[in-house]
Amino acid sequence: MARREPTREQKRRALVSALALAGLAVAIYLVMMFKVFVAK
Amino acid sequence: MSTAIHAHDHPHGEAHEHHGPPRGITRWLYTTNHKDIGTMYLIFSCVMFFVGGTMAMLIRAELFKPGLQLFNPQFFNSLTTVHGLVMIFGAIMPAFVGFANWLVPLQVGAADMAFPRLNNWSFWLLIPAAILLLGSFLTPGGAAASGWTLYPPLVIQQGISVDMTILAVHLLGASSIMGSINIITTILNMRAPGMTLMKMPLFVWTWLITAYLLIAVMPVLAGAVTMLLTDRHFGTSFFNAAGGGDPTMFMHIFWFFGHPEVYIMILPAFGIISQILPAFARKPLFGYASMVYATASIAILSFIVWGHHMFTVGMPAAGNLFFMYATMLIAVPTGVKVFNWIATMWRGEMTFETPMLFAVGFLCLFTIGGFSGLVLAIVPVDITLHNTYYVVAHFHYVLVSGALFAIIGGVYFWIPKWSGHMYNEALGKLHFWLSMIGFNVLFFPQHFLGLAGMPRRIPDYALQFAEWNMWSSIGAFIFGFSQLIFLYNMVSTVRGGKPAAQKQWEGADSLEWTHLPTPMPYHTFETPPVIK
Repeated sequence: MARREPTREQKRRALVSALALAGLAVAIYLVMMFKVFVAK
Repeated sequence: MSTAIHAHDHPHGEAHEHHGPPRGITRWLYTTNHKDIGTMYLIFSCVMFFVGGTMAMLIRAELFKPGLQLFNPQFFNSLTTVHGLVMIFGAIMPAFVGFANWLVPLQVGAADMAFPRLNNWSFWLLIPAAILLLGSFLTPGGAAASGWTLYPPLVIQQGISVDMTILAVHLLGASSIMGSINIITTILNMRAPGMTLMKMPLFVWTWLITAYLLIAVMPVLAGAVTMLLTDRHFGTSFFNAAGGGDPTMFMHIFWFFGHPEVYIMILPAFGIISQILPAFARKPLFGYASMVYATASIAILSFIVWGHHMFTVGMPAAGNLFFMYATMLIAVPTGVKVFNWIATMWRGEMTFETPMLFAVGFLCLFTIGGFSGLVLAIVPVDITLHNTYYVVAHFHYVLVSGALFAIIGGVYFWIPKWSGHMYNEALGKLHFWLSMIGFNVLFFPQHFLGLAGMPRRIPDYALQFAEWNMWSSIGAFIFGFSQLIFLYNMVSTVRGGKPAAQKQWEGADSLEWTHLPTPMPYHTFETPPVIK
């Protein structure tokens, strides 16, 4: 028996969470860069 | 804390088949198993710990007596810089991610991490990062010598080694962010039925909060080093005063990352200690809910205290006061934690096996580091002690006897479960006492050196500092030697030894102890446990 796979619902929710978190990280990076670029 | 009502790890039928790992190098290259990846993180961390530790020994050898004995000042500065970067990004952080990989799925009753392939990638990014970081020693001019903070303008003037360091930091940051996304999604979405958030072991809670911290601040560091790169090669002047830039801005940005980073390195340690102390006191953790709230409070406060790293740059008095009081405020939730740990031990049926010794050692010494942090939070005192050995002593009390002692205690605590073998208790206790003595001989005198005015990051010093520096170096050699005992003990434990029991520690009550056999099968929780 292989590893137990997550349910379809778990996978969907995990994907949504991951995309939101990755978006947050990218947004923080971009906001800081743009703010500094504009300030300069 | 959760209470399991039944275990179904190995139901009857086909699950009795042995489903072990693939063999050969491909097992490790392609693995998506959280235990394999956790093991790789821990081995990587151990290797980097000994690399960074060797640099520390060389630094202390140079400082054994006044005058230049072994290295030129440039190489000495490279050693202190890369020692810091290797220990922070190569040893401490990957060790905690290794613990998270091993324990988070087990403690929430999940079969694996939410994104196993992402998990594999997160680990393998560390290897090129380490090669870049350590390979920079071989470049003309040697490795980066600006200190781990990479302050401009010095860092803008150095050679290609700084570019290698910047790329390494980017890779390490990407790895951390991917790992954090995986940990958060696993905790929020993959918990077993009945495992509510407030039933999760404290280690899982501390990692949930730490992962959010990482996602919030790693992009800030990435932005800062990207701007350094453009200053160096693309004609910008963000931090270059000669072009109208502002080096102080880098300090603000860096420490907006840097102070939460300190908590990234200590919150998972709090989680490990909160697992070990109740197990050996044979009592539930005192004040579980307050521990969770205190952890969250520390994390939130960590975003508003960065200015205490730069009281001497000339901020307005109101700014200095704000950062001073905000820093002192962190002592409140930290005090809650220390109180709860002591209350957990109070009237407990304590025994002092090696993990407990390291946990109690952590409690005593980390508290000293916390108090010296409070001293440094006071603006006029900090202005006097800034950039002295007092600061070096303070943060090593937090990061060595804090983070590192927790990691070592955690390894002793869980290695019977991970490997199926019991470690040598006598060697473990010898390791602890030599570490405890060596550590204090190494770092306590550095308080005196700092108070007497010895600056950090210098290869030579005035004669008045000679005696305590000699003691400090002797302590370093004792501490360094004692880690070889640890290495021998762990290697021999993994290779064989007395079989460990399913529940090796009587008071341990998280799912990996109550639900899973020792050693654990390759795949666990094939049927989700039900938590009452």
